[in-house]
Amino acid sequence: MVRVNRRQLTGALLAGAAVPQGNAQSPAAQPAGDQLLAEAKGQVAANRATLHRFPLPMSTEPASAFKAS
Amino acid sequence: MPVADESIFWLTIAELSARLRAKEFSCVELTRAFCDRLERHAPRYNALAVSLREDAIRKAREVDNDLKRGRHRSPLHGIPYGAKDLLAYPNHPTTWGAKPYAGQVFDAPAAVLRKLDGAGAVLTGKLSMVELAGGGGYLYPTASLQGPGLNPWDTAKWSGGSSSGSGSAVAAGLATFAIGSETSGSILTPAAFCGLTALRPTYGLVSRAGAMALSWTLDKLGPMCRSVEDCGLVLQAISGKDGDDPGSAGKSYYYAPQFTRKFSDLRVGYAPSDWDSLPSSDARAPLQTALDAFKTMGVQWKEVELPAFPYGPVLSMVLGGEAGSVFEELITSGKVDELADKNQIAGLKSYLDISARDYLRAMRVRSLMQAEIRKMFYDVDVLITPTRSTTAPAASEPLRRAPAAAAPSAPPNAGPRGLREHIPAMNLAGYPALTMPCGFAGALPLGVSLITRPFNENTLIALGLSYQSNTDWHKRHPKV
Repeated sequence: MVRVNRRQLTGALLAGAAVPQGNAQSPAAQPAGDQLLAEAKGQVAANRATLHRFPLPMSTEPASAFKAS
Repeated sequence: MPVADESIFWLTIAELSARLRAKEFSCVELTRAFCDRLERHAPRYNALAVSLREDAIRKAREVDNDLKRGRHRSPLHGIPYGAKDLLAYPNHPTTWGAKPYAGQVFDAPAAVLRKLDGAGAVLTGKLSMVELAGGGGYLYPTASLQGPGLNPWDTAKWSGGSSSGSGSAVAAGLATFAIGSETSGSILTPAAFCGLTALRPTYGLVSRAGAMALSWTLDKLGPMCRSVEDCGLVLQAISGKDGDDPGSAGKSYYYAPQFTRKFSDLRVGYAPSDWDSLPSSDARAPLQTALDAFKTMGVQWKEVELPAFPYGPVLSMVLGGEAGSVFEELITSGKVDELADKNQIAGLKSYLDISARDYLRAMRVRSLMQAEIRKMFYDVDVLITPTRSTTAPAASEPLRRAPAAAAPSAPPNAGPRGLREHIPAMNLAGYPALTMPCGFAGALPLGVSLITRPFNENTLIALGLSYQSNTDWHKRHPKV
């Protein structure tokens, strides 16, 4: 990966990049970041609990070298 | 001879290729017309990340020189197309739809773009996407550097995610086809919402070298087109072994639907509850008509349902564990806070809570799931189900779904399982799917999906060709 400087980027963006149209404003009244993070962490914990309730034989190996079956 | 006829923007690959070879217009003329249209109309749908006009015209000149010499490289020779902005392309920004990567420039093209270049296709632009393919779990369609993807059938509606620009551009006739990516629903969803025919290939069939990684064991690239035949032609060009992609299956795809089994030998599985429990009565009739159309093809029918697994939690844990590693530096540096969607920011940060034990447990459940899905296909060859149970939602409203999935999955409601969770289930299993437009609810398209065993795409294509030879939903397009 290479990085571009600000001038190169400005040129590239002016040459062809699209400008957002309509409905592009930030969603209003979203909860604060801390609250959302707590909810997201709660979701991870809920998923963890769901997976721990699922019966899993000790011999089951992970699909670590994943292939379509 | 200039390209004056607006109908060319709606032609399929085979139709456009025939007119190029007949010298009705040159490839340069065709490319200019598509570039003009892309630049003029794409901003209405927030579909364009970057126009590649100059490079496209240069490529079109090469194509014209080839055609003058009677060289025809492939069915895609001279065909203009677009690519999701998670595919690397040199000397231009590849933003992944996300502000922290707005200045990112790669020095080599993604493998899939290199293959299409070799086939003579002409890349006219990079198309917008949900930031980081929605890997943190976005709540608003605004979660994109280019703004919310707007649906050409109704610009108050979302085009779907995360291949939003690919969906809008093909639906609006701004590109003949596009390349999208799917981790969990990101090809099928925008295709269904925008009325496209699209194919999610078997995991490992198409190289992801040069594509943004979100989840190494889930990510796939595939064609978003206007017909089943086009999907087959594009898949043939982009599939194949690639040592630069550790997930490559080392297999190729050849477009040969004529050599699939007789329809009378095919066993098609469906779940009546998928069709009976659709939330919208407007959607029920067209989807039921689509199911009935397949029933007239002479295939054998069998009622099925997905094995009982917690598909959503497994998918979230696998995706979260892998995305948390992919984007660890983004998250720990604080640059993640530059993303547009606060839910996505929170979701990505929460992935750092996923332990190795959590991830491995999810991958072990995934092993069992794969085995059960494989057994399910002992009794059937193909599954059929609505691609999405609803039409496109409003672009200005929250998507109202749980975080931590790359695209909305079926809601965990009561009642028969059916095949409602086909998107997370079949993405976890790595199975291919074909979605086709099958009617409208109000002014918005609906899609029906066929799913089959790995590397059996020609069976999907054969059934899809038969369906599209008897219907014209795929030929309809919005007023642009």
